[in-house]
Amino acid sequence: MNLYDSRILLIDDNIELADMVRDMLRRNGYVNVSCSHTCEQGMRMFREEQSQLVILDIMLPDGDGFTLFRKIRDISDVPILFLSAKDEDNDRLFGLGLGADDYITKPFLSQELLLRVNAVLKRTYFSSARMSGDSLFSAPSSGSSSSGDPDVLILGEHRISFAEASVTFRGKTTAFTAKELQLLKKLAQNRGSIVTFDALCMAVWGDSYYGYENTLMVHIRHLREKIEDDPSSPKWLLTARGLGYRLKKEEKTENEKPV
Amino acid sequence: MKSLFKIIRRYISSTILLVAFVVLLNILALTYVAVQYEEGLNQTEGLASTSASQQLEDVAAQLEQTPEGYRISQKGLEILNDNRYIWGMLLDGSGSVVWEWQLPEDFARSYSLADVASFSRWYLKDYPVRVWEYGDGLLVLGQDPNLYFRIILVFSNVYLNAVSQYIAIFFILNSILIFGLALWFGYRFYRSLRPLARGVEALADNRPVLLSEKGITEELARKLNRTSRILEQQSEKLRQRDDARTEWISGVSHDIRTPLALITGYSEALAAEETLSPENHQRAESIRRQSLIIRQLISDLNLTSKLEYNAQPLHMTEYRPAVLLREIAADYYNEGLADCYDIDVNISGEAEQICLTGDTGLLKRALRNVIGNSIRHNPEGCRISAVLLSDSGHVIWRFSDSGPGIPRAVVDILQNRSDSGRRMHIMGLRIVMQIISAHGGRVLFPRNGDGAYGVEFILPGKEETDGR
Repeated sequence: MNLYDSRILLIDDNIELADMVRDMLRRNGYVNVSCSHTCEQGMRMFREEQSQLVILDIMLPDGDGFTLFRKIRDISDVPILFLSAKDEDNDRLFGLGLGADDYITKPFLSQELLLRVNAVLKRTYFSSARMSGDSLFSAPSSGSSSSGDPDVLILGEHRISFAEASVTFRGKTTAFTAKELQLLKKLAQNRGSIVTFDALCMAVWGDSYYGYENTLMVHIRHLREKIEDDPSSPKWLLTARGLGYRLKKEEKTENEKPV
Repeated sequence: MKSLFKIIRRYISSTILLVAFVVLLNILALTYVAVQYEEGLNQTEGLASTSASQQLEDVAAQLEQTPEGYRISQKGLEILNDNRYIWGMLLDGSGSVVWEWQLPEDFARSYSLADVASFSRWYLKDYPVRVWEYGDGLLVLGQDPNLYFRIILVFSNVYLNAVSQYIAIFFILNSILIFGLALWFGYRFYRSLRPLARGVEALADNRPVLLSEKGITEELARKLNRTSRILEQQSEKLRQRDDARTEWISGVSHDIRTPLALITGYSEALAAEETLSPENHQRAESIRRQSLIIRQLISDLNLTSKLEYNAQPLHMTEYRPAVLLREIAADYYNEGLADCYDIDVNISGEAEQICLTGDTGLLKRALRNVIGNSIRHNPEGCRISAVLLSDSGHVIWRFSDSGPGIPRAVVDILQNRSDSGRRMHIMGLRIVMQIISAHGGRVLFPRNGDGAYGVEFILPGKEETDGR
């Protein structure tokens, strides 16, 4: 099954807004998007269409989204996103507390809604392929896809296998220690982004950065010795001064900015 | 309650002083009266300068024995009249009257030793008398019974010797009694005032007061109760007004959100339309940008009104300022911060270990507002410095940028030195100040070496005693 084939039900009393969101989702590849404008109609369509994701407004003419949420939950575990103009912390916390998969406040950016819909669908229906990122899902608009093993990370000539906890470089295989592997996994999961010292320490030692400053530095140095051609001038595992580390993306065109 | 103790202490000491003063006053008054009495007595007796014994002696001197018997000179008679004697007689050694002056007829003319002993101590036929030894005889002078009262005091030597002790005991017992009474009255006074003091304290703490309206403090208690009711009503009205204002802003922002979502969505769709002319594309992009600004304004307006009227609940959790600062800076980079910007985070070793309690959602908002301001107001790029340090138990967050800094006019408005803020958009920094204030901290606007204003938060610290 393709991510973009997911059946999405949009329940919002504002017809114009519902149409706009539906069009936006369709433009971005989601082909099975339907709209309803009341609780009753929404419930009926949910049953008929066996929707796989529901985007739900809170204030509806014949009831409220929280009640409708509970009704849907009684019969199904499909992911539900609240899309509401209510931005009170209490509403947000209540919605998420009910078990909603996300809570988006109007007005929203199209990209924001798309990313969240995408993330929820991936998490719910394609969670086994999490490590590989977008590459497993083919977006009809882009048409390009690059398949890869989720347990393998390629850094230039270095081939890292998470399953084997090792790196192979020009035929020579070196093993990672458990901590080095955890560090590399955390960086790989957030590839391209700065991962703060704190997030790394939390992932590896389950503790805050304070007290692990030198330990973290030593582990990073050892990691660089294994994955970099020249550890003193790293190409992949970059330092974000005062903040953390970043595993550079593969794109050759990316312009690295010293931080 | 301390002030109440002070009042009671002063009350007791002033009571003691008052008693001492009254006693002293009495002694002085008594002395004065005694002196006046002596003078009055002398005046009553005629010769202010002569005592009774002198008068008797003078009268005796005016008596002379003649062959016809005893007689008194004219001067002697004057002395008798001047000193208000009404009769007189001279008894010889055998008790017979040998001279008399105005002696009433019913008086005996001869007196036994027992009679003499009796009238010399008490009265002679109800007349107070004074006697004076005259040769072998006795001069007896009678006075008006309505003018004088005689009393004979007899003290034993034992009693007289113990008088000083009695006086000391008398003073000690009296002092104890006075002090005890003062203490007792003071305590009663204190007890009756205690509820009032508590009531005043409760009012100062903005708590409702309902005192029992009884006893000597009835009227005060009633007035305090009334004041409390008035204050309660006023704060309730204020709260209702604040709530109404917050709800109104919240309602309006809610109602704007849906149409704004349409504007944002459609402008995004238009901006992405490839067939659009460059001019229209630019217009669509401008609508999209402006709608995002409105979104931010609505959000800021909502938050600032809630913070202003304490309607924003604080979700307090433990956090490390160093972690928060790094996270925000990293987020900016991860969101695609343009190359022309550089966020330089500098955290002191001491600040690294600090753990505080706060609403991290709001604090992140404050940090983003400050860093976002530097980015927004320096479109050509800048270097943003974020320093975290600890000083005397306080956590200091210092932000500055290599750009022109915050305009002086904005700083003046934020520090209430100017009221022209209505024409300036400073909601972001106002929210920062409100958030920091809600965390018990304060915001300063220090100037850097170039004279440009930066931002500094000072939050009360809570050093973690982590022994690592």
